[in-house]
Amino acid sequence: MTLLLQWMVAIVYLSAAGILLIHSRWPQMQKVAIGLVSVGLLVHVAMVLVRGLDSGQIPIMTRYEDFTVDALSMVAVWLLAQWRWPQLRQSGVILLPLAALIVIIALSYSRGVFPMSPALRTNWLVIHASLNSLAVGFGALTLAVGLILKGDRMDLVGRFMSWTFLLWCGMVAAGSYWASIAWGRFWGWDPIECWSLGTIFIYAFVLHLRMKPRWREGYWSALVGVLPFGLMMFTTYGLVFVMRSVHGQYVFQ
Amino acid sequence: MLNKLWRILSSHTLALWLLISMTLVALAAGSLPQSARLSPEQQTEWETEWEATASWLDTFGLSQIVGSDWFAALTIVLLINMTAGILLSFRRKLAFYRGELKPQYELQRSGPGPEPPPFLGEKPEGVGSQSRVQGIPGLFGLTLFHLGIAVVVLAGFWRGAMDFSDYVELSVGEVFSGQPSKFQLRQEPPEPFDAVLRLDRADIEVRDEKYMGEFRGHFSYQQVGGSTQQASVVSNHPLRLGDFAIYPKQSFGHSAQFERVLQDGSIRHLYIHFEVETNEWGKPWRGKKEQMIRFDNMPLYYSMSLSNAVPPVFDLKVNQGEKVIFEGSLQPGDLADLGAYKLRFRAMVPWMTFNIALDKGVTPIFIGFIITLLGFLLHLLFWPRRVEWTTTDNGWMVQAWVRRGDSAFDEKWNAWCHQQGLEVS
Repeated sequence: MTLLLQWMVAIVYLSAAGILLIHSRWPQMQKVAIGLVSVGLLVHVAMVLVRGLDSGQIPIMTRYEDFTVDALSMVAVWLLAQWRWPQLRQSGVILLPLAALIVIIALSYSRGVFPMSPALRTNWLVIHASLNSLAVGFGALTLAVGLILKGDRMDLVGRFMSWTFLLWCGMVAAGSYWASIAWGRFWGWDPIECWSLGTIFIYAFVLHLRMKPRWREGYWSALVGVLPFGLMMFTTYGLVFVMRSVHGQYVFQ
Repeated sequence: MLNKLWRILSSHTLALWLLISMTLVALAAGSLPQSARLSPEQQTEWETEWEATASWLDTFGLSQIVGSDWFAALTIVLLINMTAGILLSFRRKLAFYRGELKPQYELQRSGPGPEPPPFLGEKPEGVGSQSRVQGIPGLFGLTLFHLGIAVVVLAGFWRGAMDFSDYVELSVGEVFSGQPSKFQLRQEPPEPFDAVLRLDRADIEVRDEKYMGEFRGHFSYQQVGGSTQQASVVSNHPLRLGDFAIYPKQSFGHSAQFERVLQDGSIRHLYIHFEVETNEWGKPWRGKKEQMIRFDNMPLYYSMSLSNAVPPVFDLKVNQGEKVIFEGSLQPGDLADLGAYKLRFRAMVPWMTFNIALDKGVTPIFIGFIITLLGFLLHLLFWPRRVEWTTTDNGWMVQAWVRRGDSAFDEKWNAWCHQQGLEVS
């Protein structure tokens, strides 16, 4: 059932992206796409809630859960953003397929439920992981808006990037506090901590770069905007595959 | 000369170079083998298998990046650049607040002028000026953000000088009073551990036969001049003892508890630990271990096995060089005569590992984090705007100062000008 629903959600997101791509100048069809995404998101949320209720723990611990929740965050953030700024709808052409891809990738991991180790049974996990998922959501929105949007609303890219930066910093700070009460060290220069710090620096770099007018819009601005998001995605998903890290030990069983 | 130095140190270009350098440094520290992160065995393996690379990294100070002088220097330059940036931007923000900068929006006309909409504040009653400043928290949000970073970095430097963290393995019934020999990494705390504690009980709970359920150590402890107290150490709830704190580290097992009876009749305690995997806990188990144990400069080679049968059985073979000086099975109460001393097997008890860390200086770091996050949040939530109306006998003028990217104001301004049939300037 989960498998079927997950595929359905991915197909709905992809279909909505297709509609947005084909009917980019037809508002009625765009609304159909938004309706589709809303239904997909409701199913997506229900899937996460049911899993959480079934397992009796917050479903952001395994790879499968992490990917599923991050995709949900991306779509939810995009849906809210396009509701506030309708001119952002077209960014769904990039964001929705990305979310669908992540939903599908989640399926390649075990959907088993693993009991949390004692250090994970804390509200700090909820805060830390939720901020991470939200940062990924805002990061994806920034990327999509940066690549699609042209003209006078490029300030929104900077605004979304700033929110991504704040959420990521909050995630790192929450993780640091949690590490200090769980392990007796707030910072251990573990690979994932170093890469998270690297992600903070690259976001800070791009935000500072955007203070120069020529880096606020155009091709180079969009290209530079890809860099921090790429680093964030690698830090979140890729690093534990290539480096031994405390996160690999405690999470993603 | 000083002016030039100030211009360089406070420049935006330097900030960009430093930020991209710090990005690369952080990624390198997270990717390259760092000696501070490797165990002695891993370090030897790395230096043997990748001899040329290891030596090359050493030469360029890349094998211990965050502990290197050049990393500290880079951080200090970033701190100076950031502080200079804060001062300069603070000056600009004060000028914004006072309306001393050139306004981004300005409209000047003759006649009595229109009634201002809410986003443009109010006109003065008669001839004169009236100004309104909104979103002041947002004006100083970034200043606060950078100030928070400065607090974190400075507190990090301060704390780095007295950083201490090491592990101790304690058996149930064992007393620990900070003896250096118990620290597994053989580190020396920068200040004495002035408390005595005893592990009274160890609760190790395994779920579904393989997952760690709970890990709880119950202690009796006494700090200098204080009375004996009881407390538990459990994940995410450390036991704080003065400037130190004790944290559970999830490695545990069975410990063979001995009395070592010396030739003069005095007794010493000896605990031999056998690590147990989570999925083996609570099941019939036998652990083996070989270890060189040295007392009074007399090394003896112990080959041991411990079983959690009822009663527990400790099989022991002790060699001195090639010579076997004891071989046999011990149950609680049995004595093994090893010549220089005798060993009495007392019992089999659980042992746990705890991390003992100096907790000093952490609070300023988290205060810094809070200032940083709060500052940036204020920057994002509040949009500073200053609007000033001036009316004269002949006409009126409205000026506005807003933050770059305040598109909401821009839209309203343009719409209002259009509605009034006014030309936008």
